[in-house]
Amino acid sequence: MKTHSIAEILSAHEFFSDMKPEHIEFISGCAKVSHFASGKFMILAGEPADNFYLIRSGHTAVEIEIGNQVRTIHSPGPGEFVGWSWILPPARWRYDVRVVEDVSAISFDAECVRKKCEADFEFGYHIYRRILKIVIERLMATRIQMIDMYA
Amino acid sequence: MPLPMLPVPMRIRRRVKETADTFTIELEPPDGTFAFEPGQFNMLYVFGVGEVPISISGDVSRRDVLVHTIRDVGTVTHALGRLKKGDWVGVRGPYGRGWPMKIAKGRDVILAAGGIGLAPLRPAIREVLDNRDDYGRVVVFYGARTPGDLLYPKEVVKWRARLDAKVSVTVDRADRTWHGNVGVITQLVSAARTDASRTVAMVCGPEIMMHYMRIHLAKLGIADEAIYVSMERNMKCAIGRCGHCQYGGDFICKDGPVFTFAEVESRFRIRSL
Repeated sequence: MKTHSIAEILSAHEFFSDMKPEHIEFISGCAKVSHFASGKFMILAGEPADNFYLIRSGHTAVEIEIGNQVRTIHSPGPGEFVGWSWILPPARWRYDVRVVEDVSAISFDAECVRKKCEADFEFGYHIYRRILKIVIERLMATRIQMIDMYA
Repeated sequence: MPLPMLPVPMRIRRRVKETADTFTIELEPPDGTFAFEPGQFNMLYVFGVGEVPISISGDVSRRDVLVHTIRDVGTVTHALGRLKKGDWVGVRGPYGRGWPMKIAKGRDVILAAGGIGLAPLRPAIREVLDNRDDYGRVVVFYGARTPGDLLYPKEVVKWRARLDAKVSVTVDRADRTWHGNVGVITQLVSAARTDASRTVAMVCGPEIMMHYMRIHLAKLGIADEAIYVSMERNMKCAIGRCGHCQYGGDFICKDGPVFTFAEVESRFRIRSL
């Protein structure tokens, strides 16, 4: 079975489409393959946001504790990014992300990506522009979720 | 020919509680047969209370039983909810233009339901899955508020187990007992992987849900002429006479309830219509 390099995996993802190959190589240098078993937490609220993830397989649940209850507010799966709190200070996670089904992911070193964004503004612009698109899509989805559409 | 305004009494054979506010009744047609097309509706009359339009949610191939899934939202539906096995309901119908089953044949099909919208779409989903070879890629999306609000959960599990259709379910919020998707139904659309030029989409749910679904289906390249929506208005006579359900130049009861999005686009989500 042919194995793909991280750069090849990233090149095939919509997020990195039309990005310069040297930029993809650049960010690949901050990335590694990670695995998380079902039931484990990829992210814990309050902890430093020093990694973010691109899920390749498996499913997760973004959870928030309300009183004694834990509520799932989103369930990122294959092809989706997990974790935005690393982008801006204080860079601490705001939600828990629990693994619902064994996850294989590309894990990015947030500090490494941040430094590269600051060292190369063109690279940083492309990364932040793409992140903004996803954040806007999440905001739109959250707004629809809030209006109780099926009532 | 039967009088169009005269209800036919039918006995309730079975009653099933679906969710906290939704139930299904199975009725016995008096002569043992009732034919309808997916997407059509009946007027159900609770004697001494009133009449409401309710979509038919059963199987077109099962003519011996007439199935309606009803949400308890008003006086008549509340009265319907209090009826038991053996009680009588007046039935007029079937009425209206249903889902485009003939047009969909040979094409990829997206069937998207939100909340109670699965009830009017269920006959179309069953028709497609029961005659799977007649269609291209088949994708079913179903969204609800919470796992407890999902209709026909056992049947949906069977649909999801099929290898010849992609069936995705999502809820707006859930606790840890739910292992499925959490998020809005529109987020599922990008995974449809149908050929946009030969896709027919049938969408049923609240107008706001159909509005957002249309935006996301359009992003896939599906034309408004190939997106079908089921409209809901206050239907009274159900035969295009009284005008209660007038929707611009159309009567929902007679010209709909299913329209292409292209047909209703200029009137869609206008509050006064």
